Amino acid sequence: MTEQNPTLAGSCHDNRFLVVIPAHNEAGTISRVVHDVREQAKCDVLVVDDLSTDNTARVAQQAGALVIRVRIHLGAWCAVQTGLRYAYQEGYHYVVTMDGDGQHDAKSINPILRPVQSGEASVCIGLYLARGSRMRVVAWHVLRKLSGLDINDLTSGFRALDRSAIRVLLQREAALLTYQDVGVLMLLKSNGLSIREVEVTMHQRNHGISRIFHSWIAVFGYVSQTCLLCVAKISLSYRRTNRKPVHTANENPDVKPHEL
Amino acid sequence: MSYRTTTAVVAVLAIGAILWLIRKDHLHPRKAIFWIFSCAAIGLLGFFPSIADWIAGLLGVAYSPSLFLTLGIVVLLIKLLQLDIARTHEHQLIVILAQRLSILEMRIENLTVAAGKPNDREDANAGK
Repeated sequence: MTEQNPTLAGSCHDNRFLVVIPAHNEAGTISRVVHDVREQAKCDVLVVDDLSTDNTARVAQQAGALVIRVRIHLGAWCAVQTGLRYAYQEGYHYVVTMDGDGQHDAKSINPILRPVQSGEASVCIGLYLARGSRMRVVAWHVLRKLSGLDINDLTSGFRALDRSAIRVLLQREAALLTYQDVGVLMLLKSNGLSIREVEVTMHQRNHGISRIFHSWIAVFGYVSQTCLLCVAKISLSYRRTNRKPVHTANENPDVKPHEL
Repeated sequence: MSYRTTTAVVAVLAIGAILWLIRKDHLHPRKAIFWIFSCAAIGLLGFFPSIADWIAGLLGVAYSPSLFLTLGIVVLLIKLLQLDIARTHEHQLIVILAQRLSILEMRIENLTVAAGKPNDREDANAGK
């Protein structure tokens, strides 16, 4: 283990953004993903190894990524949150989250980062509607109606976030979310953050299966859990709609410093 | 042996079990208070069933056992809900602590590598 730690070398603050990749048994694809990101975006890459049983962490390190290995299986969203926590502590201004299975194209990092860097939005989502299978289309339709979110791609894990969005997502309540979609977007919306979507290209999955949309039973579990969340939180979301957007970290009263 | 004696013995045994759990540090005294009071109430109502009849009469319930059975189920449901709420809070804390721990471990690992010392964690992972 010798290649780890571009952070200590001090390169991160020049780039000011970090690419966070949650990974669970992605040894087959993670090396290429890390290489692509480093080549295209010239930034630090953090792989959060979510208790993989293969050598994902080692392969990612050898590819030049920073690697955080979590000690319990957190799931994709909480693995992303680990990366956001690290980014916030290290002073990164922006974070891009993407999958470790090779679906997201590293060339799209800059297009989704641009609206966030220019201050046009706090969050930018990489939108790819063409991947909508029947299961996905049904689930999205139901959830869009229930949540009141005016967002086309609810489940895209390809997102750019500014520091105020990162801080919102470090709230304690965010640690309870299972999926990185509707719950996360509702939390961002209820804190007055602006969300934009930019169309991107995506590749076919090279390795593994979708954690949500691999079977009708899994979809049922996902939809019922998310519907419940929408119904329970909808009044909160509308109550906060007129709240002043959070622009700087210190303005957000919901996050206590010890939770960061 | 009358049912009154049976109930009293069950209540005393249950209280003894709770005290044993506290003694062995398997149960926090704060949590045990609920169980001690529950066992005491079971013993009291079993040994003096007239108390149950009197309370049922006050509430206008003709058959006192049905009242206390319903009350018992309600109390247990509330207790279960309370447990799930507590587990939810603990889950939040565990996730946040695990995240912070893993970040700290990475930092220590980096410092260890920078200092040129052998890395136990890396060796342990390699041995898996």
